[in-house]
Amino acid sequence: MARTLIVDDARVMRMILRVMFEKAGHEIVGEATNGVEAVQLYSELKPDLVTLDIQMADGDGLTSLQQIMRLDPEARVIVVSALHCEKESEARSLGAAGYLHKPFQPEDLLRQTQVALAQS
Amino acid sequence: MQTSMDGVIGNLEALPGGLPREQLILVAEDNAFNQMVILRQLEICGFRADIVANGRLAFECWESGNYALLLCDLHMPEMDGYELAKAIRASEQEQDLRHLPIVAWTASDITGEADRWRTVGMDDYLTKPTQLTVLKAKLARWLPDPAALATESSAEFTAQSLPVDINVLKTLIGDDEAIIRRFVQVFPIDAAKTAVEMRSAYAVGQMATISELAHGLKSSALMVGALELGELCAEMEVAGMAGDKTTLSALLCGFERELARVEDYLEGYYERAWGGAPGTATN
Repeated sequence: MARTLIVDDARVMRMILRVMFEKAGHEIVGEATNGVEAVQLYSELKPDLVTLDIQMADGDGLTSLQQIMRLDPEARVIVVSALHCEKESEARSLGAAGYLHKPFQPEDLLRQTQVALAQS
Repeated sequence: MQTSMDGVIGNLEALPGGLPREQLILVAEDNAFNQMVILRQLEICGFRADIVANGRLAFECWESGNYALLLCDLHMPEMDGYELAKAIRASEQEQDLRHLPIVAWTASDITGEADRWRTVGMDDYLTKPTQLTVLKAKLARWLPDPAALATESSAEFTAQSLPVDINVLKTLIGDDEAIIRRFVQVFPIDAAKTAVEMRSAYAVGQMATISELAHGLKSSALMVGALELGELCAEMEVAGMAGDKTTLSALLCGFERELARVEDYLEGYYERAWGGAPGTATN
């Protein structure tokens, strides 16, 4: 069971992620709708896992990833992006523990979660 | 969607009559979500399809049927896509049968596996998730009668197809009634909000903003089963990025029409399922 923070500016996407995580027994400790909020909530909540949409209306999510990793180099962040946005290597080099393409299925999310949580 | 014989799912009922059987497509795919999405996409393109969940069943269907094309996942239980293609090619040769176009349908980029899918006799490949425009292009390339892909016939069918297939969402998150109800309430509200923002951006010539808004809505639309709306978002995203105002103008009108269909449909769905109007859902 992981305490999870969901970051996405689309409400429907946050709802989908929440249902998928909760069904698998994880706890959602917070939801952020932009990058600034994401960093703030990360420092307040210290979640075990973050899913971070990197294409939000307020700017580049990779900057938020960088800020979270600076706050906590052990942070486990799964970067979520739409297909054909090839930022995986950049996200990985910034410390992302996983990478997920939208639209995704529960098994994709849970596989990435398992891998991210297994990282020490 | 209907089940016609053991293990075979098809969309025959959903389609207008008159399409020749030679246009029937066989899909071998074991994942329920992908099955649902491709069936809807093929419907939108005006095609009938039979879907089976493994290579063995696909081979049996192929032996007994007359298919125009096989779209096949590479990794399936019982008999995978590679074995299936090999078996079909061997039988074609033995019995001197017509060459069936086989298109590999795979989640990952298989350019690295190119030799392998070619070696077993597949003709082409398509990556998942598949955009409607890409699917149409592949079908046009391999089907004997490209006329069936004419815009008119697909537009005619589009007008009859459902704007939302709730089963797509149910495949992803289950069928808990309270949860589905919440999505049925929330999605049209958020989509309508995006539509207003797109209109405003268009009025002041901010094409890049429309692209971003379309991008933001695209995945939600695809995941709740509003596939055509999602496709329109994908097209608007591209047109917006290119600053193509003329194309965007047409797409925006199409988007608003489709959104109205989505709203009507979900309102009706709500009334049928739970009675009354969806009401308002706040953030």
